[in-house]
Amino acid sequence: MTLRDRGWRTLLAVATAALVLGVVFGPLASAAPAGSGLGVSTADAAVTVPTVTWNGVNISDYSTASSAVSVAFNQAINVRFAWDPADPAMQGVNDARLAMVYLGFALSTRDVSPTPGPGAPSSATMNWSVGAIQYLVEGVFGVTASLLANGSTVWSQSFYVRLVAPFSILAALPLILLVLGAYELYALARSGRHAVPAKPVVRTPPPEAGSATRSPPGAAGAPTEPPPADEPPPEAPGGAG
Amino acid sequence: MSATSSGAAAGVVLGLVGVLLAQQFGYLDLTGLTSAVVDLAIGAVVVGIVGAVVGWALGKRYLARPPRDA
Repeated sequence: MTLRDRGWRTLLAVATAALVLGVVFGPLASAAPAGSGLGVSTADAAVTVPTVTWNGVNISDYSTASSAVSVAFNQAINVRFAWDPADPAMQGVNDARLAMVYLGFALSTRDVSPTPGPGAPSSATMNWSVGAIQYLVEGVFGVTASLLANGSTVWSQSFYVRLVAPFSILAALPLILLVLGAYELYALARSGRHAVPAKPVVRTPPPEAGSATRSPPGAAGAPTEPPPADEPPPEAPGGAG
Repeated sequence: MSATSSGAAAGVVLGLVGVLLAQQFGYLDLTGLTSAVVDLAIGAVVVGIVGAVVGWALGKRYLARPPRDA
């Protein structure tokens, strides 16, 4: 196989791979905008999908954490759910829910029943407020808006809100975390005082000749020997001087 | 408890606190449980290692100080 043949075969393989990828992922990529385009109502009622507005703005505008909608302290929010009653998937919708999620768990849940009126219900309005949670936490939180029919979710969409505490700090959790962080910084700065000096190596004298076993110091039954005298023996009286 | 382990313990708590504070100040999204656990674990391990190194260094410096005169 020449180098030119190898190049053509490589090009053919790349083209085939691109074609396969395009066939497989092309429909998914083209379907994604249609599926994520919630709230975009067209003139054709058959393609109308549920819409949730947050103070008049579609929540699909807040679909990422960086584009989260800010919620000021004690701010009242008007949330409106709207859906096509002719949509077979929306039949029997009797509950609209807004759930704030933190660490995978629902921090706050609020439900509202559809607005009564002639025919099948097609909307629900909720005057939402953060409530007591605004005294506890702040920051970015995920919120899930969902429509339920007899307890089962028939549609849902997630978006993000940014709770703003007074002076950007006056909430319980960030204050507690700041105090705890300051204490741990102090503990880290003092951690050097827990240092333990290395134990000195104790050198045992070599066993004397003739002694087969060595008994540990202080063991029961061991003969107590006087410590070796470091001082020279006293001179005899009447010696020098 | 040695200086290294003391620094590591303080670092682990600091890592967890740092991740939670980053969410509270809007720099991090802890909505999902799995991603939140991953973020917390990464913060605890990384800052814990840094804390252990800092504690070891501080302990070494503390032991190298000359003893005070009585």
